[in-house]
Amino acid sequence: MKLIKPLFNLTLLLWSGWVFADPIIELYKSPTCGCCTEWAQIMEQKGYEVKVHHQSDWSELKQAHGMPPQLQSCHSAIIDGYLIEGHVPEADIARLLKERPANIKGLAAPGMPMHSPGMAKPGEAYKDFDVIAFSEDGLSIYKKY
Amino acid sequence: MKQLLVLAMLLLLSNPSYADKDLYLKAGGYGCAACHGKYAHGGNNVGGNIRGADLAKLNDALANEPTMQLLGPTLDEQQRASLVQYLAELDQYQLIEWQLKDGSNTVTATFTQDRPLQLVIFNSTLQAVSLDLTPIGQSASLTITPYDTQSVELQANQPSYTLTINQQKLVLKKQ
Repeated sequence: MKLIKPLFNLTLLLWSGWVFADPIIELYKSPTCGCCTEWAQIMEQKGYEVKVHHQSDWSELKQAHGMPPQLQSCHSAIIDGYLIEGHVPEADIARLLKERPANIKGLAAPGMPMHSPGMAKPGEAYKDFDVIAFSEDGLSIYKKY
Repeated sequence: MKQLLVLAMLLLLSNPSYADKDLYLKAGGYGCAACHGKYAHGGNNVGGNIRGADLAKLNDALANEPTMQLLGPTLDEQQRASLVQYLAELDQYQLIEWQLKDGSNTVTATFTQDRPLQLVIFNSTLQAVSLDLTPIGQSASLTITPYDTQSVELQANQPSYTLTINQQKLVLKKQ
């Protein structure tokens, strides 16, 4: 009986860690691209664990997640089943993971927007780009900067 | 005949530089296009417009630009020359950029007749559009999916042209 309470507390602790821990980011990037690393560092600072996979081609992954090719950037990340393409701000990813919409397969910041995380100067406001949500139904604006 | 073949081979080997669009789109896995746009026009990307950049400029960027330094060792002299050749080919055109937006909008651009034009059209709407090319003397129409960028080339021989998609209008006028 004495053991029940500590065991209960331990279970609660493990469960809360599983529920509240930031998910792991599986980052697919080319070994020759430097700016993806900057984005990864921002995500790590926000508490995510980033596992980097250096590859020259991961187009099958993008196809499997239904990402339209015109949204391409330099790197792709898989976070909790969603595909995040390019320099998407952490705030949008946090919102996606909180709301968990079933009709969105992923988010993209197409190309290499000048004032996006990993490209903007430290402390500079993000601006002049759109975060696009993609799904089987098409595209939608997730957030305008 | 055999001599001609040998001569052709020698010419090919002595001048290995050719415009390599495929390399531009795929170098490093993401392509130069990721930072400089599909047509090297910039397109609001961090790398900006590099049409017409020469070999010295490319070599300098690959050696000193922090985000490009890792790419440098993967591109040999021939590949660099081929990229520069492609950028030179693009630079033979006058670049006219047109961003399609929601609602009503008219963009006016001027051109000279000394060089052909390349219209680089970015569809920033969430609907696919079909552009009627007959006003510029081309029979086919051009479909642009949402958020895609496509180009059209033409040799301008009229004082003006007007292209229209929905309520978006591009007016081209001779300078």
